[in-house]
Amino acid sequence: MALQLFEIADFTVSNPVTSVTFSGIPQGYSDLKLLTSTRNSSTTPEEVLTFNGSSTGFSDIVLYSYNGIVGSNNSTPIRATSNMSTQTATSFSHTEYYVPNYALTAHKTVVSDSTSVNNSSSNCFVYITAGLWANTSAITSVTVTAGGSGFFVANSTFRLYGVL
Amino acid sequence: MAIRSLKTGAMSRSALAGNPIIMPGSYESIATVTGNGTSQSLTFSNIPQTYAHLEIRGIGQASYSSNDNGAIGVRLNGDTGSNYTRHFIRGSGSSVSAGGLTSTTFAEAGDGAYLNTGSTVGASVISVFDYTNTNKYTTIRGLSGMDNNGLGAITLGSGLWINTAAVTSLTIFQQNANFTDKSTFALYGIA
Repeated sequence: MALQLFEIADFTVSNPVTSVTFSGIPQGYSDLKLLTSTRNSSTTPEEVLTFNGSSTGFSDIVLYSYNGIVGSNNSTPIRATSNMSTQTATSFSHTEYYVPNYALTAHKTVVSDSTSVNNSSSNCFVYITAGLWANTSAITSVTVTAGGSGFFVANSTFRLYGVL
Repeated sequence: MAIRSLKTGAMSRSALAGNPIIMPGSYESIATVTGNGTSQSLTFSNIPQTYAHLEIRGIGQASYSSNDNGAIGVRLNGDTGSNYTRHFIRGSGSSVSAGGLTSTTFAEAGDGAYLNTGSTVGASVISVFDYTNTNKYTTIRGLSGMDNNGLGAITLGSGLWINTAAVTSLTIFQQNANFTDKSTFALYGIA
């Protein structure tokens, strides 16, 4: 069966915000897909994904590249890379999150790939992330928060889709 | 109750009471391009400006006799100047690498082409977000790979087009050789 994608909600930043939340997510899809294009006012090239307003139970593994270096690490939030203030003005990141089985009563796994770009051969990032929310609650809301206590600047965009 | 078209004979669902609600999807086919062995470029022109994002899915093969993997590039609005950057992370089966290039003539979309003839092809999923937004440079991302039983690479690549124009055409580019007729790429709009 062909991929069926249905937009649930979208948000474009006009005035800087620290986070964007999509609430009241319908429970009738198989999976969720979240597409973000962001720029962060801080010098931290990351954004963080959380669910249901919770701050606990999140962890991730990231495979990354930065300035010609390949590495991997883990952390307690679920991270993707976001463009930051020291990268070329008016450049924005590109991130795709995929959340399978978001409505089931099981721990939730997230996969994502993301890139923050720069008009330079350096100071650019590529992330491939596997994330876990060790919680069996169905996901009813999704929040993306700017890293480094920064703000998402104007023209950052967020679109949430349901997948059948 | 289904409806049969008098013109085509095709059956479709109706939205009459008692039938399931028909929801318009957010993922729609726009066009498909196929290589013919005479060009290193395959272009989607007159892209509708009505979607939020674009996605390209396809397979690539270029008739270069090196028996190698090759990068797929993306050019926008016919711009062949040095107005792009390239960033990537790549695995070859035995090693990993990463890099960045600036002032390049195409954006990186990964190793989506097999550089030889035969049956092997590379595969790519490329996306371009906010392609109509004139307040930001355009970012391109490509997940591509090919394997020929020990030869190949998997790449997550990206690029920045240093231009705020809305994207009206998109070219898939192979820097080494012409796309063969085994190459085909489909463009989708994501609403």
